[in-house]
Amino acid sequence: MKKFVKILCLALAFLMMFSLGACGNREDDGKIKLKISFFKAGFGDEWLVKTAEAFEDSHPDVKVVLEGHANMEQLVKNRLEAGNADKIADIVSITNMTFYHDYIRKGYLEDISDLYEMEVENGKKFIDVVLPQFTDYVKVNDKYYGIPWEGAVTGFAYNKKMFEQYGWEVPTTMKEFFELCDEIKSEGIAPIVYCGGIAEGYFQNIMLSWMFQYEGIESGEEFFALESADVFKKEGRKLAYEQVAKIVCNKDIVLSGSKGFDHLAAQREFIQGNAAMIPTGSWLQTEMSEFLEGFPNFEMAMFAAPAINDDGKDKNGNDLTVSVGNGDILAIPSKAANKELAKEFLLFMSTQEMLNLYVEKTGGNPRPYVYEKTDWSNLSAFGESVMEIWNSAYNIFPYSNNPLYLSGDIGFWLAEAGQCVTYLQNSSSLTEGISRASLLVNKDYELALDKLGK
Amino acid sequence: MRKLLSILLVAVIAFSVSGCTKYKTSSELPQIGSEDEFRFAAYMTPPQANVGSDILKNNPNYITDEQYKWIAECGFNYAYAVYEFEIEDIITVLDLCEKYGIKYMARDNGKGASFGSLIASGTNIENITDEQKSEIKARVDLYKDHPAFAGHIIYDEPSAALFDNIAKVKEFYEEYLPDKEYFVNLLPDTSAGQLGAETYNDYLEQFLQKVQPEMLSYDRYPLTYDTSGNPDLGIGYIANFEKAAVKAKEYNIPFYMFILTMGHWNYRTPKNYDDLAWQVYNSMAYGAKGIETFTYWTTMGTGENITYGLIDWYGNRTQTWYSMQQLISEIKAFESVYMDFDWQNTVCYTADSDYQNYQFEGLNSSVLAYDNAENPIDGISSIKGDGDALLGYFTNADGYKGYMLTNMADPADDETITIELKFNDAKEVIVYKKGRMVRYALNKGVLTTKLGSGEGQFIIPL
Repeated sequence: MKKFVKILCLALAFLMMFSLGACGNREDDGKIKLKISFFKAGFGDEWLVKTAEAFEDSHPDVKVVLEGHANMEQLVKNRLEAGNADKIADIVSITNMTFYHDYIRKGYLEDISDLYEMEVENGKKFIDVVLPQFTDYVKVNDKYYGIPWEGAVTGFAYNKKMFEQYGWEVPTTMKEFFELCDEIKSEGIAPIVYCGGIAEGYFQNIMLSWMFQYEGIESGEEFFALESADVFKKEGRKLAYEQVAKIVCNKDIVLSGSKGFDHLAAQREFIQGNAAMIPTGSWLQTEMSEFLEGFPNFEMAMFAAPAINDDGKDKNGNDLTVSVGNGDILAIPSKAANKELAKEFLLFMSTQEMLNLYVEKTGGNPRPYVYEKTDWSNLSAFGESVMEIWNSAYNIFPYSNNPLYLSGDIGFWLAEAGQCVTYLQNSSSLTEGISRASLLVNKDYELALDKLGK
Repeated sequence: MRKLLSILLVAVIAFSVSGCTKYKTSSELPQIGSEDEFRFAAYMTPPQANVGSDILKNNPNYITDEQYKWIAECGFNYAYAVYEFEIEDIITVLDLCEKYGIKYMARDNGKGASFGSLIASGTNIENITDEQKSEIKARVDLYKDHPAFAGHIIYDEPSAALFDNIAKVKEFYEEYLPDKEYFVNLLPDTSAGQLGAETYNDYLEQFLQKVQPEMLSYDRYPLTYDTSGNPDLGIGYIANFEKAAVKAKEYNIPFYMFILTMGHWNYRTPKNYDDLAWQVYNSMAYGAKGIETFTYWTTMGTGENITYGLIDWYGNRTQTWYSMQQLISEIKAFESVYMDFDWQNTVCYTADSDYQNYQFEGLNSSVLAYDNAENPIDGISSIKGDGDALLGYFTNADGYKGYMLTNMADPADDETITIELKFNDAKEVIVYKKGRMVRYALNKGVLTTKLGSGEGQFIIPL
């Protein structure tokens, strides 16, 4: 009898568990949730998913909650301004420098200067592993409110197999570049395709590379300081405009339709083999990863903006290759629930293992940190070429501390509301395009004079 | 003792499987219904000859019996003109609309004075001259008494700077055509620089105050691609609904919604049922009383990355046409019931509070509910589920409550969600879904229901 009652009680308990379990409740697992809201675009999100998994492995009491969206910039802005701590993540990405400074002014971001003195690994502090040219823009009033997130490399991508097939050499000067275009054209192939319908054809970073490469580091930095309108008269700027004009105004070397392509259309044309080269950045492979699956035999690589001078040197006779990158930031909001844990995560992201993972998962895109690894042969040809540029070029993020720049009242290309490539590509001839390039320089100076004075 | 324990065991087993037991429903259904029609408007009617450009130049005439038969077969009860402006064409269209039971909204695009040109004249109109009135009447008199003529498309997406003129022209319109519709479609909330007002609410308020319209209509297209070519839903879509719905309720007028039915620019081609259903049912969760398609006929130009609408450039029905037909037939199955209810508010439900639904940001009066939410709105003691949803709350004059439940997952993800609603004081519910009406007895007030991608269900607890 007793045995029967025991069995019955067990059976009852089992059945009750079953009947209640059918209603279901998501259990709170008791872990600390570290929330990250990030801009999800060309580089995808696999890099962060894997970083988060690795962090969770080393922090079993933590769950990393990721929220990525192409419009995260606006969402973060709305949430910070609304000020509801429940909706604000522990780490946010910021890609707009004007927003970054605005947030600091309004007290939305945590001062994380102490993080820069914290150890990342092996006795190295954070300040030791981040590239100095990428920390200047993060520092405001001698304090740090964020860390640089991604570097990126910009230049030209080229069809590697096509180049090998025809024996074309990667150009290192613009003279070689235009001679190459003639060679490509003679084979009945369009040398270049670009996205004239969006983002100024992705030429503006390359234009800054050309300018900087010609002017040299000191003169280039002087331009970015924007202390007077005179910097807009630097010879390198005029030459940069002329290079663009020589490309976009020359129907013979540009794939028909480029004027109206958005970036995805232009990139598709390039991958389909309809053009040999495309101005672009190191996000290309990840951004087009799905489309590339349909072209398993396609191989591409990148080269940096070729030098303007025929000898490949700057105006002072120095060797200089420049790549212009991105200046995106990761920051911790002042209303974040888990600030110390967020700092741990940012430090964790900056270990060599995680830096390498970032490169691998973004198709060869670097973060602006010191990489100890030098052999990137595990990447695709594209990724390897990106890292080669990164390691050999002087990498810069175009930025100015001038308050007018920070408030959005002045930029680096002023005439035609900053849409210089759109203006140039609508020229009726190459001759007109070159002439327009001079007009742009003069107009830039006049507009700068208005804002900066002499 | 053994017998007693056995009985107890049986009772417990019966209890634990009782979730599956069907209860008896009551024998009588409530009489709920309205004679008002839900507006299904086909914007951009079949074009006349020679309106196309580029490869579409010299297009043939598509104002045919077959094309208008298809508009009716698809389920549309309104047709909005775009291309036709010659009187002969307008009358042909009106005759076809009459034949197929469609109400026609014409455009008055005459040379010289027209409703639209008066509004956009660049100055504030003090008076409309007799000469201008005569010019307009000379055209409109030729068809104004046609049985299918419902009114005019007066203006599309005006800035607030034009509202005074719109109001002035409306005075003339109401005097001249008292029973006809003076239709103005407004800008969406994404047009900050074009509104001519400080905020979108100001824009709406100014329009409603100055023009005193019979309805509110705006367009907003959520199905886009992000900069990497991935499907994306534009931010602020639900917030725009909220703003329009609240204002429409305040002024006691219906609101209509233009939905995306044609791929163009970076908008997706909404060819599948769920692409359309997502837009329509979510607008109904905020009380929309009509939808208008952008566009029915594919725009007769090859720029703007245009793909196709319900009818392609050459007069063929596309997959979108058939998807729309399916959707309209579903809604018509409960149209009279839905139209009997007035929208009150909407619950925006997020299944996992760790993953905020960014569509639910920027909301003011909507109820935000997360995870296992208790008492989110009148009549509901709890809501929980495995996916995000909208739950529009409605009441009718007889005191019944109605709920429009929708699946908020992006139709590109093709997700089915399960939602559990617990009703206060309800023994059964009527659920209108997929063109059917189903009655469910409730166990302790709980309804568990699945919604496929884009789907919506209208639920009345009894």
